[in-house]
Amino acid sequence: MTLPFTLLVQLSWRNLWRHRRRNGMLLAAILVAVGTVVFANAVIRGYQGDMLNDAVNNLAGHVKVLAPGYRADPSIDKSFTIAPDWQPPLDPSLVLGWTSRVRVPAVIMSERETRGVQLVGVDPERETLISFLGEVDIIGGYLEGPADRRVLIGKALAEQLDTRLGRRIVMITQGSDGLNREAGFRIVGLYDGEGTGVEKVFVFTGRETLQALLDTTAITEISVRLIADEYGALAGRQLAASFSDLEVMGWRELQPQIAAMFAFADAAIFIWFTIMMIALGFGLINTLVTAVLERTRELGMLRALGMRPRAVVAQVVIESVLIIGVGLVLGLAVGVWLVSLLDEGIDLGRWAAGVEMFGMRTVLVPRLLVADLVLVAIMTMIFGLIASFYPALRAVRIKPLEAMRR
Amino acid sequence: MSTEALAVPRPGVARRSAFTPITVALAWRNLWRSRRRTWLTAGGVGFSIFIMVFAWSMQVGTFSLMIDNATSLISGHLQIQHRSFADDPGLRNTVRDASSLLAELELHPEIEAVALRAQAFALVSGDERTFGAQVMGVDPIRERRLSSLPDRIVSGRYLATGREAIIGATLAVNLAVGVGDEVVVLGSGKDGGIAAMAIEIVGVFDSGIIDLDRSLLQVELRAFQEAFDLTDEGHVLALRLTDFERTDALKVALQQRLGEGLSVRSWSELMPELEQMVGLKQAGTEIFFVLLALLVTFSVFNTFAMTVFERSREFGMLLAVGMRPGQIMLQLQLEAALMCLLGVALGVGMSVLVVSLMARTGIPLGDVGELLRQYHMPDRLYPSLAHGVLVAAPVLMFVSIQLAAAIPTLRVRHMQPATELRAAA
Repeated sequence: MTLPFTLLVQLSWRNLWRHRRRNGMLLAAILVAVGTVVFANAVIRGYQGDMLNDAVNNLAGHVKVLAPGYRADPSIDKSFTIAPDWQPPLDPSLVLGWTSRVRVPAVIMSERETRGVQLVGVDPERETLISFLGEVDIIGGYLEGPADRRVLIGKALAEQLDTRLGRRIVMITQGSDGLNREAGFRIVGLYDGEGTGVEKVFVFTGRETLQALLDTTAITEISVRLIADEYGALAGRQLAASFSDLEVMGWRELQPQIAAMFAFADAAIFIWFTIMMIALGFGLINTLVTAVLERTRELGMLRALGMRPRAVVAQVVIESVLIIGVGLVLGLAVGVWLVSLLDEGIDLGRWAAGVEMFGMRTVLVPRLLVADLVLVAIMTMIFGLIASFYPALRAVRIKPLEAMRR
Repeated sequence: MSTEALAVPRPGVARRSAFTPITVALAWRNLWRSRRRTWLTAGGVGFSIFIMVFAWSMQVGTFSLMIDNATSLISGHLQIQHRSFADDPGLRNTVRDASSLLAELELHPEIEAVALRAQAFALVSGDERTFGAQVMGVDPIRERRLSSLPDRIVSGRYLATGREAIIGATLAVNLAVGVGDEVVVLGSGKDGGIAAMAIEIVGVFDSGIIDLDRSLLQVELRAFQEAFDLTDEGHVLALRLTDFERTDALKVALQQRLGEGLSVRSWSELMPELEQMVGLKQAGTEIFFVLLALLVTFSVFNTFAMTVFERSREFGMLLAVGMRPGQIMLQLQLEAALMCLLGVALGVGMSVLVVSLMARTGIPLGDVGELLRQYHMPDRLYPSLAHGVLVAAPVLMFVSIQLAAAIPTLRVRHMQPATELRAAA
């Protein structure tokens, strides 16, 4: 007797309805497992998104061009020049923005205090497109062009230096001839990096102003921001082809710590999924085996009537897949609903300093990726197939005669 | 209604206590009537307990190492500072008469090591380059007992005495200086005059902490005090305690003893990010535990729903011969408890085995090690068996299992002996 597939599915479906309470409970377990996997996944993706954003925003961009040796010895000696009308040799539709900068270590002094900082000469307009300067709140004014002779400093640095908006500070740095230059700057604005470390590190002024101070026309870096992280490798290759004597690096190479944390978070998603599924597996196998053994008589009869062992296996597998499938759909729905409830973000303010150490923001907004949902769905279904292996084995082992004699 | 009359309990049965050796033996045997189901359910319980104990043990192991690494690098467990130093770490906010205070603290039985430090921000110049750096005057002999920085020297040696300095690896690269070179420190002294010293670099350290490697220069304390116009004073008295758990108690005691002018700060105040990081991770782990327990609860519920369903006939019979529904329910709860104990034995046994094995060998972290150094972590993780969770996880499981079993068991109350006997026949 060969049963058509649709009939098998129908049979399995009805079998599920024979024990509503039990299967309802199993469904609830699948729902909790899938729902929390989806939710945890979204939280981790949100965290990764923040990390990526910070890594790229942090003046790194997706891809950066540097002179060889600049990373080990960040000084104006390790610089390069580009033509004034240079454009990145990339497909413009992939580029969100790019800029060239002069970045040198410097000492900043107020009347009272002294600190070590990075002095960055920027094109203010281009900078807003690609780095955190475009996103942060600024008290006072912003720089007005590459020739602006004032500085923009972090709020926390201003506090450390005991200075404020409109005051003058003195910067000391090393010129291209190796001699120290000293110049006074007026503070045009204070940026609020939300208490992050950048506030104490970066001091911005006009690029041309800094070049004049250092006696150079060179720059120390080009930073390119793309529309999405996926294009990083491609853009890197294309840039490397046009700058054969310079170093072209992606943010992962520039910030290996963040890249490692990023990979760590990927692994965390997988571990979470595996643990939840194994915990679920015990209950699922248990219920399926019971469903098979309860029907020993019935299955024996069907076998005696000529049902093929293959059809018996198919019935058990389909039953498992059906219940997993329904649980999966509900679980995905609940997971998505939970995420949508929290689209304002989860407030982690209580742990602000610890959160920053992880490269997170104090408000963590979960992020759903369709690709992840598909992956969870596929993996859950595969898991459902694997879990049905043992119950199906039990089902084919049923001997028609013995079963009917019971 | 006639069935009700049949079910009138005999007085002798009703008086019998629920937990006699017989009932326990009966419950145990009942468990083995469906061996597979019992193993699968207990296996789920055991697995969850194993995951909980293992995850928590990993965290406890990691956290205590992180805290230990972080506090032993420089900060110590407690620091005594001028009252205003925390808000305004300026040169003038010093701890005065430091040597007598130091001598007194060294006699304290709960303090393992004390070191006095003075620090200021200054310009440090190599041959050609100048950078801003945190210059710290330290007492090399005391520092060795308190701080692990002397062990992090990658070239040259740690400070001995005299006009010597050690420098962070990144700062050394930035200044283009190395061991044997001379640097000039230029800052302003306490009286407002110029503080200057020319000092030879005898060692370069690599602590793995970016901020320190980028900006710290240590010199001998007396040379620092001389250059920066300090007398017998410093900015920080760092303390290492014999027992880290006593940090908060000792903080309170010392604060009382020292009075208003000075403030005693604990490592969690000095490095709030560390404690918050621990708090954040623990909150996450607790949520994870609850979800895991919930999953197992569902599957236990199912097991008991099946049990009650299958044994309806048996229960009907027992009711007919005069057992009370309450007794049957107790019997089932006892079965749940025994099943849970089996799971607990599995879970606890496995986690104790795995954790103590790993605690000896450690788990190598490979490439991630470099990343973790920034978080004061070692490059091998040693889980440390967390005794709290060894109790908490089984208790959590026990309670949820009893609840999960109770719901299907309640059905017994509504069973009519005659109906059950007839239905299952």
